[in-house]
Amino acid sequence: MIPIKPIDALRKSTLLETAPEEVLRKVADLAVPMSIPAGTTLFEKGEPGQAMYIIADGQVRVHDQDLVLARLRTGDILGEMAALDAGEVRSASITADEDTHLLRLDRVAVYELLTREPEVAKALIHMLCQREKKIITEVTQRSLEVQILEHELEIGRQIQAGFLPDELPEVPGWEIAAHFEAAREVAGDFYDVFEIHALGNIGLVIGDVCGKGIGAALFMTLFRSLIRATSVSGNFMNWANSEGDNSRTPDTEQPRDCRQTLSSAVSLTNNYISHTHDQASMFASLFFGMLDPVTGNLLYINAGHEAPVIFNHSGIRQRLKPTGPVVGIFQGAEYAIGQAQLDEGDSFIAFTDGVTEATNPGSDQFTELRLLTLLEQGPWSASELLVQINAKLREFASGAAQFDDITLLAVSSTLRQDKTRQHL
Amino acid sequence: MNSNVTLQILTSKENGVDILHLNGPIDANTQSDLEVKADEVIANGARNIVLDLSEVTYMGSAGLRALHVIAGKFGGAGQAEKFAHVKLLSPSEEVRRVLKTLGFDTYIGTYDNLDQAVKSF
Repeated sequence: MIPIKPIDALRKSTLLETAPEEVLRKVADLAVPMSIPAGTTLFEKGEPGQAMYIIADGQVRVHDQDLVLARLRTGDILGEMAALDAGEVRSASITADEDTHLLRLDRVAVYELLTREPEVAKALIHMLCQREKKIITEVTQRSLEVQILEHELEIGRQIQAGFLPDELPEVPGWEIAAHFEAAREVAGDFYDVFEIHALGNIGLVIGDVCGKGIGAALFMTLFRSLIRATSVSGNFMNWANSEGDNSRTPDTEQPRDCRQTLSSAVSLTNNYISHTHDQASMFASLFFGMLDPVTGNLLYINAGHEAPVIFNHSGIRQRLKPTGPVVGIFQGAEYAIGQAQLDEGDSFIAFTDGVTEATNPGSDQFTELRLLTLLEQGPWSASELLVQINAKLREFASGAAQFDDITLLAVSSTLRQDKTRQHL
Repeated sequence: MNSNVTLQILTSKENGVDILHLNGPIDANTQSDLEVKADEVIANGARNIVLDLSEVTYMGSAGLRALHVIAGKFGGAGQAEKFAHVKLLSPSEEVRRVLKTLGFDTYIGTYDNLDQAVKSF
């Protein structure tokens, strides 16, 4: 590469292109020519800076680690902010894209130049103002884009809220309560409570799709819909009836039992998603229980989910451990059916790991142990219990940001000692 | 789990099996590093991979998802085929607990000894 004379390089620069010859000569005397090969970093963001540079020939990139902010070429000046503003550090890094020749002007020389040559000072001010204008335009543009995205997310949140029950069924003899708190606008956790008319049972579901944000939220809607649609009616095809709903049991339907319904709902959901969405590798842990409100019998499938707890005033009675793997990736997986009994005075609680892994500012986790200890202390009515747990969670977190979705589902028996139960 | 700790990954080879030695947490932040490394190793011709989890401090559902994604890169028709090319070495008690709860333990082979892991393919 033929080295060019400093004065010729200066003449090309945007700062000095209108400057008279004597000024150019003076600056050329002060400027120190230097070269950097392609790939060299001239200076790093955060370093103190003493000099500004004019690119005599070549190209550099202005960057913050891997994020490229701009590219500068022959005639451009760089590093002027740290050079002009004593005490300032480099606001970005500079690395050569190609072999580059530079002219270096250190701060003392620059100040002298600006003091003695007002035209050069004016040109510099003009250049900085132009740059500021450009930045303001970009920032405004970005703000608008962010607003649009936030609006979209808010819409997503509202629609997703429609995938959670707005009301919990009123079931004589039982109190059911739920608490759901997304970590972001959209969530991967879900819960569901619904009456299964064909069986006279109440479906209780809690789930946690792996991951966070939009991906998990999209799959949440799929998991929740498949579980509900395949179990609310004994026969999924019932939705095709002339009333457009599934509230009537069709005459042609084979009577189904709880075990069969539980089993098919989970298997169908699992097989459908693992087959159709194999590439996504998305799965959900899921607990699906069917409560017989007359007998208190609870049949359930726990697909890789934190074991719900059955407890009463004398302590924890049972943990409903996993009976099969998470749903959505192991096609053909088998799910065993567990059984439990909720008697008078018993309570049931299911939770997602957003509860047990909630962190405080010191990065400690809430832990399952803390939750279980709370359960032993009571209260044991579903809604009071959730109020207590939430209060303790909030107290523990003491302001730390919520990292994961928090979901709690509680059921408690409201019956007293006398054995009379109302038939539904 | 929210962590700003990084995941270090070193690779080695034994009897034609590629071994990824992992140090640190495998969580939502670091799981992509693991996937990228696995991609590299597979692009260089890896047929079987052992993930050395002996220095893994945490592995949650995001980490298990990464296992499935990596296994998926080997193709294979059913579940058994898929995990035939990815095995685990020396997970901690806590990581084993997670593997068991989520049901991965019945699908992915886990070994306490590198020799056994390498021979299992």
